[in-house]
Amino acid sequence: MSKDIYQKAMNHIAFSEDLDQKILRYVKNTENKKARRRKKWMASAVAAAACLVCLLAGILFFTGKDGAEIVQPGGGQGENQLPVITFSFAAEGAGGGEDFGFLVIKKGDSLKQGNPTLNNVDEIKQLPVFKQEKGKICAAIEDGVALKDIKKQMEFSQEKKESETFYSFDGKSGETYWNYFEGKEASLAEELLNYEFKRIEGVDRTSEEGNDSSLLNYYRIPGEKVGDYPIITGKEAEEKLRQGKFFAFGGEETVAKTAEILSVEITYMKDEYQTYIQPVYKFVITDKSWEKGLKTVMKENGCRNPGEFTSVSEVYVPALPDQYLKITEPELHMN
Amino acid sequence: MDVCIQKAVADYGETVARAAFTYLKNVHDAEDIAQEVFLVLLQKEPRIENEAHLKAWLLRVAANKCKNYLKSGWNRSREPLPDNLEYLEEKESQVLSAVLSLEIKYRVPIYLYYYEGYSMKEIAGILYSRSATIGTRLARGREQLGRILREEWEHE
Repeated sequence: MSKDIYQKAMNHIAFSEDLDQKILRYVKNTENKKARRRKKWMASAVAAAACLVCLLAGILFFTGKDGAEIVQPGGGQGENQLPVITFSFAAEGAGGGEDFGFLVIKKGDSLKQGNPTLNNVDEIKQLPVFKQEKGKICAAIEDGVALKDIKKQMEFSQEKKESETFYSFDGKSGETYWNYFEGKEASLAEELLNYEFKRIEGVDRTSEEGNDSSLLNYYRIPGEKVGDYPIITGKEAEEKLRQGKFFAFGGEETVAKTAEILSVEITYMKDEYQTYIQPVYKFVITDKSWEKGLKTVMKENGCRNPGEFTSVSEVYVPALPDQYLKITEPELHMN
Repeated sequence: MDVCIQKAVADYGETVARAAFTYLKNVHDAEDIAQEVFLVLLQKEPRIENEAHLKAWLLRVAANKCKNYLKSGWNRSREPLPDNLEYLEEKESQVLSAVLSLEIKYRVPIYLYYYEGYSMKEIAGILYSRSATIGTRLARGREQLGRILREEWEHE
């Protein structure tokens, strides 16, 4: 019922009657202004061209042929040169102001368990960073495709399943699950790459609209490696977390100093808006101050036993040392 | 001006403005954002595969523009000014006000799911998120909305 009323209300919002014309006028005027500025600028640019060429040549000499900034650890040259890696984080809400964490779990439960670095982060000293290959590393599974066919296609000979149960405020549960390839490899770093990139994601959820069970994405090991980068230690990552130098979906900054860390693992940021596929530390945190807010909201939503639940948030700290990192805003793109 | 832009504005001008309104709660600001979004379309000339792709691209740009707008210094220093919705029918005004009272992370998925008719997977694509996250947010948003409206209607 409310859905129909909401749709009608949205249709009745009083936008300007000539909204289309208003938009077109703005676009046209702004473009014209820009064109005039461009013309003026071109005249000066021609005069400065010779100097510019010299400058560009200098920059290329110091940064490498593709223009990427190069860092030389320890002041060395040659094989130690690694490009600076951009990192961005897109949260779909403006966030903030919540009095509980982002996810609801049952007390004593933990989030997914399969990551080989779970609470074992200090064995790995360096990890590869990859270039983004849109549509290849993470791809959506078309509706109607069967899990067994995807497994066959991905040659899942040694697989394992892990899942994460999440709860709504009324106490009803849903489950996200992942099948991943689990081969015993020579190093923990290689096991991590298998866990992260040979992977199939699906979701089972019960809601008012019925059961929703669908396959979501599959992942592939990226093909284009930028280089093997040193990573900061778990302790250094925790220090950054405590200083508020982390990324999350909002609201967690108020508890960063006091939050209890439930687990730490190294994972890869794989979203398509990332220019590079790079390692990050993922902390699962909770805070005592969240208990009251969660209990209240679960009670209001008809949950009979809110005391059984607790709320947690996932927060991320980039794993690359600062000298290799450039934090940027996510670029606009479409999948 | 490019005929494609004119067609895009005719087809999706209000759609983009509605999405921006969901973020900003204000018609005037939403129309400003819509202008900016179509300027980006003209300047960036993205490779668009089909109509659905264009619409999703515009909605994503609108979402980013709105987030930047909300983060800007001017907006941080003032309370958002939600429009007076009294010109709507009473129930419409109540439901829309209730949706707009939700946090952005709940009300935007609700708008994309219940008004635009996108699936959780598609919303995840537009909002740089995961389907499971969107599912959780829709459930939470719905629960909060139900509570707000129940309270409101019980008082009547």
